[in-house]
Amino acid sequence: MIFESKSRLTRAPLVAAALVGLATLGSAPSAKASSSFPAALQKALNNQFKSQNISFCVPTCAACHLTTKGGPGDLNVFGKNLEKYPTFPNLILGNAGDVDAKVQTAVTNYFASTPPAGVPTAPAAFPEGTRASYDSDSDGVSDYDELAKLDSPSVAFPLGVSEFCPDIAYGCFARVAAAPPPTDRWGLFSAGLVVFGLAAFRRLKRKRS
Amino acid sequence: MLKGSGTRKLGGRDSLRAFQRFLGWSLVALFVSLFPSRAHAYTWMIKHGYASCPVCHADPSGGELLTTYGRVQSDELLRMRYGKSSESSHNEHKAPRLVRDVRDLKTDALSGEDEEAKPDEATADEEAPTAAPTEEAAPATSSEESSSYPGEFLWGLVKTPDWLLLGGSYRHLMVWRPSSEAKKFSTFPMMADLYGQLQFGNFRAEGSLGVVRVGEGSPYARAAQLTTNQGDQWNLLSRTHWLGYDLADGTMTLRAGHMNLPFGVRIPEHTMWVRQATLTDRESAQQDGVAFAYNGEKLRGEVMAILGNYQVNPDKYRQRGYSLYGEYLVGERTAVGISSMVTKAKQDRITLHQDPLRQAHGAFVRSALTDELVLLAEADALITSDHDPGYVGFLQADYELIRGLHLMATGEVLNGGYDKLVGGDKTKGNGKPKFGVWGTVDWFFLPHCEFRADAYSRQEDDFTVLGQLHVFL
Repeated sequence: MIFESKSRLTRAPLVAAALVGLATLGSAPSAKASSSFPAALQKALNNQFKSQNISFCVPTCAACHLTTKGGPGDLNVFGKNLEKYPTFPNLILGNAGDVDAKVQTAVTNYFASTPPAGVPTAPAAFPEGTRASYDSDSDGVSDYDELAKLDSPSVAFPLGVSEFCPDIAYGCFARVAAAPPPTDRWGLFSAGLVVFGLAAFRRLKRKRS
Repeated sequence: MLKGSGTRKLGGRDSLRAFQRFLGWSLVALFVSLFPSRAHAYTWMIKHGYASCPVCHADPSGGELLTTYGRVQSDELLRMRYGKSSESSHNEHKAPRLVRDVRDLKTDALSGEDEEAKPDEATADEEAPTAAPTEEAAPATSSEESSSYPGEFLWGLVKTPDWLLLGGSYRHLMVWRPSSEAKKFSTFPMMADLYGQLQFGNFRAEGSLGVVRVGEGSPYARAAQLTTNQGDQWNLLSRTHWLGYDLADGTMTLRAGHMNLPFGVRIPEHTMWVRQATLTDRESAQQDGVAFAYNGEKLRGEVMAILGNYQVNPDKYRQRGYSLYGEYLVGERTAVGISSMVTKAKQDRITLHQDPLRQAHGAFVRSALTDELVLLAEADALITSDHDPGYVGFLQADYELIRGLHLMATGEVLNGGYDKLVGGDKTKGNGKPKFGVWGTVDWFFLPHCEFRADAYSRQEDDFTVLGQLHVFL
């Protein structure tokens, strides 16, 4: 019996910790090892192309990076241009501050400016008229016009066609579709479990003493 | 000899209990304040004579779900003992054995006892492993506080029948980037998975089920999703699920299903370049296919026919090909191996390039130089269509300062090969090498509980500190 009670003594905090830990999972933030830039870029582009009634997807990290895994320092040609022009830094990297606002400002500035000499350009059909704009992948079609067709501005024509919003989807039998809004019921449920866990732990402690 | 005896200075039983209580409460506080994530293969276990993996893991190539025997060893060999002589405790029922025969160990895993603890019976019973009751399976240790449950699921709260293995893993990550101009601190649950395996005779069925919530556009966890939310919602995921059949007393296993790719050193650090660049991490890089594993006394290996990840849609993004590794024990505690992988898809889900052919070929080594110091190293050539040839590698030194407390130093290099399709200037990692260094403190502070702190500095990235709380059931 003495042996068992000792065992219980050690287990109690562990069990309580596990219970409380699992409970708090429900109210935990999402794993944002990557940034919130994709969603912000979607909003910025929807605004930029509002008059043309173009609806953008939440792009993958490959919109501005070499791969869908993203990562600092791994910017593709379009990502580098967007970071650099018209004046560096046009877009401060990272998730601090109002990400939506700073991406919106960067996109607006980028397409409103006239590219400096030496930077690849191509004619772009803006609503206010055609003028020279950036052509990151140097394929003769401007970034603006490529984005308007949902083509990738960083992969030269024709390989970049329709690649800004790739049809990749995850999950069993997944299809690309608008996602429903996130729910916060988990938070409420977990808060209750936390309270329950702490109460149970306190009771265990009282019994011990 | 390990230096666990140094912890005796912590004091007698009362102070030990007080310290354990303090740790328990600290754990609770951490959970509450930081929110809550996995059991992994520890490749440095080679220093304890465990060159092969199925002794302690259900997966023949290691990782995740622990066997009963593995759970006992987790308690015996991994965790800090706080004033108890871990060496004496260990020796009571497990004399060191450097090269272990996997057939004996299969027996051990079922019985929870070591061959050398019953030398007369071991050889006689080799062909007929006995499914001893769990109570008998758990060996008596000098650590009274834990001896009743080291081999049982959930610290002994749940007793499982012999045909059922249960496990789980929970990791919570804290990220601090002090020099970043952006958000400096973030914390989130990285992993919350449950594992299970049914075994009837030679037939096995294993699976994992977890929950995860990642940001829209995040590359993580997506490829393991079961549910189909594409945005910032919770998703159910399964990293592995397979059916297997053991042959030749368990030295060979034939599996079909969704599995970790057999390639390189199976380390838990999924963001290490050597795992990321080869697409062989255990975070969500698993693929569906058929695999054959061999675990002999000196030689082990696995080859897998990759049929694609059917949790990624549509079909054009599914990679098909093969992946394999082979490892040979060249000394008592040194193993060298080779890996090879070739996959083809209609479109690459990482670069989005059309018709990509990905190849990775390389070599690795695991060596216990002393009882305390283990070296792990891997170097791979990367050959990808539309890219110049590249390479990736890492070297890690793991020093166990005292039982349960590891200090690690890691260096890594990556040149993914210049992306000729995207073009632009060559940059570090894209046509030029980039380097990274890691410093790690890994503390197994309680049974099946680990706290790990990493600080890394990588070219083209902010200096980053990671804190990770890990509970593995």
